[in-house]
Amino acid sequence: MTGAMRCVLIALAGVFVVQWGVHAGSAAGGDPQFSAEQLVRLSKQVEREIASRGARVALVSRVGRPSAELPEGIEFTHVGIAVYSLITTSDGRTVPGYAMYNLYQSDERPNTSFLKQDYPLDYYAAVYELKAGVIIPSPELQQKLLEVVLSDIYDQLHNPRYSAISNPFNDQFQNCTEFVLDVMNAAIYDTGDVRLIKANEAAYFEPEPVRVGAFKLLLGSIFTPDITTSDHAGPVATATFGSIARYMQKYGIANEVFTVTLD
Amino acid sequence: MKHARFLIPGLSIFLLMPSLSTAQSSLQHSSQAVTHSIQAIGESMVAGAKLVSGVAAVPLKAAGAVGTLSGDLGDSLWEAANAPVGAPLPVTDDVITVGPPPDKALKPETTP
Repeated sequence: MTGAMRCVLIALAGVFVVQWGVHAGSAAGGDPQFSAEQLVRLSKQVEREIASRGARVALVSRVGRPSAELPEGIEFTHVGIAVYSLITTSDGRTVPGYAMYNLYQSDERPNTSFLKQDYPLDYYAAVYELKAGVIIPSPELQQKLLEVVLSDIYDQLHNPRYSAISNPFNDQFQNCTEFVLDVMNAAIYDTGDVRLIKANEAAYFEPEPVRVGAFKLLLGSIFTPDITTSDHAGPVATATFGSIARYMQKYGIANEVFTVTLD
Repeated sequence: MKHARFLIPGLSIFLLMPSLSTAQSSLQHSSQAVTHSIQAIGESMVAGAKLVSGVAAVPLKAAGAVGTLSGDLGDSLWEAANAPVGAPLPVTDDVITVGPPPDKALKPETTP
């Protein structure tokens, strides 16, 4: 290949990747895919389903990408923690409801994340399906989860280095689901020691294999800042809503796992 | 033809890019905050529910304020706070959202 041709190909590839990144970034802006009424109905229905079961704490997921684009085995793209709270409103009232505790990916720097507390409607504002996955932890685990969320450990467990396919068995990178898994295991093992949390996750948790070709993952890790395989020694696998649900069911720490859908 | 053997791998990468993009975007940008979208709704009533901003949320366990709330709400929350986990909990009919981002919150409201 001539040097000129190589340059042209690299330049064209660069343009393509930039367009791709920009496209993905605009999707992040989160223009609602559904009407405000539908989003309100979904978020309220999720709240009421959790409340009817008397859950102080629940793990709640959403579908943040078109389902046709999701890799095999991955049904939901984001998991947060719903905590039953007294909410003071801007008009001065105090009302009961759920607050959402999340690790969100940064818009400006996609390879970083931040923690944010918001509410169910914020959480479901830009979903691609009117569907939510819910895990109701056992009463004992709910109590312990609440203690962690209210403690300094919650913030200390956050690793701002973000990878969408982070390896849950080490602390090099973290995504939203791994953060929830870490919070849960901090609660289970009564510790804020990340080494202990990771050791127990490696011993007992089975992550979801990411069924994307090695070559695609390689290209992704080269061209996009929020995809890296550098923290994986073997096959790429990451924490997902489904794998967290299976883990909790296997060890009897989930009271119920269910899906809420809105037609 | 001498260029073709280089062109084909190059084109292959281009052909692979869309599927790579799909795989990547299925994971990327799915866990981001979407505050702006909610602000864009811009309505005070939706589906018969009142949209209000949440100023603060205190997990019920830590909500010592329950005892100071008066009326039915105070009573029901006091019961909820002391009920075993699993007993149904009351939730507001209002729809709570976070407030606008700081830059928008600082802007004076303009009359259309």
